[in-house]
Amino acid sequence: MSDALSALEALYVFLTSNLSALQGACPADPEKSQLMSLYVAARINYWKGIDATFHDDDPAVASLVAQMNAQQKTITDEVAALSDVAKILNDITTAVQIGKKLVDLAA
Amino acid sequence: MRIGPGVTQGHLRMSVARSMILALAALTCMVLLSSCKTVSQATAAAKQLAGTASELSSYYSEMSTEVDETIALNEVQQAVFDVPFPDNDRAVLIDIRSELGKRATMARSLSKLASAYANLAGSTAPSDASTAASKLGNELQAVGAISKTSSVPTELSDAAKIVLEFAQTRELKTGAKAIRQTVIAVRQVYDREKPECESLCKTRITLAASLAKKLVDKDQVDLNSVLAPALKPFDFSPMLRPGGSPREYKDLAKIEIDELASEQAAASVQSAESISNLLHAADQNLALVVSGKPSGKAAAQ
Repeated sequence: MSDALSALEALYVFLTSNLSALQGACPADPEKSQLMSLYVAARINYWKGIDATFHDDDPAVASLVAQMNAQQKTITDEVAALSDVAKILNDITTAVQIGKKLVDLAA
Repeated sequence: MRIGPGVTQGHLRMSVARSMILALAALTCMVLLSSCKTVSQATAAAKQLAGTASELSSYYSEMSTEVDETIALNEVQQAVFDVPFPDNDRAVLIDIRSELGKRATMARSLSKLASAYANLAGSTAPSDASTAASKLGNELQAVGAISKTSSVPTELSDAAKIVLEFAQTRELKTGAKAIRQTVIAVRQVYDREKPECESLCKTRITLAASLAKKLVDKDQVDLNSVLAPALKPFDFSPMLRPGGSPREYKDLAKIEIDELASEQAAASVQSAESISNLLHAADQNLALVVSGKPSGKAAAQ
């Protein structure tokens, strides 16, 4: 599998596995709603990634993959602690935006 | 004229003629045996390919069903987690399912062509081979890529041209070449898309596991089976208290969900790898038929 699709898959799988915990940690409806929007965006990035061809040797793709992997690690650590939901949502937003850039590069 | 003691020129001529007849007979036998061997090799390779292509078709059909299940799981997720599942998102999955369905049909036709070719090698059903080749040729041209920007259709349409040529000529060697070209193209497509297919399996299982755990938390799952191993030897049935299962039982159920999900993901990877190996073996056998080398010699093509 390409590194790019692997990064998109990792975020979608992680959010799917932790959706219940994240939903439970959201203090109010606006955060819950933001979480759902981010989840749907990560999911469509992944599905579009299945339907695309990535060029991992393209420096722009490689750079985005590296950024996404770093962001994924940050999110994983934060979700293990679940102490700052606002920051988690902010970091997921960044990861989803990077994922969208990756998909746009492939399209 | 005498050549030697007791040997006349007439004797010599007869002896040479006898030797030539024997040599010719031996040569004819060798050609016939070699031809028989080629035919039996071609028949065996075609029969093996028919089985492999049938398994490939089942694999793609199963993948297509799994994408259907993914759509259903997202509908459940919408109900359980309030995750929106808009039509645009659903359409992406429907496209993927449609492409997998085309591959299943194409692999089924390859299996039919291989069977017809095995019969053609035995000179029984040339028209079946022609019909099967025409059908496969058209289907190869119809297959698009799961990944839209890849070069998959070019490989398959190249194979389609040779298969359609075979449909016209019905010549054994052209057939072997056409079928091998098809197997190479199908194998390239399969190997290239295998990671995506494995990924689709993995994400489907992850989603199912996430939903199952959520339903366990919501007390919407009968957890009797979790306790069954302790009671089964004594033929007792569990009786959980109404109003929710204890947390320990829920944790046990979640561990079981994780274990089964891992097993299923591993099984799907193994199944995909096994198809890849079968396609590789089919290609090697066909290479021997095309090159005319006897079985056992490596086909380095």
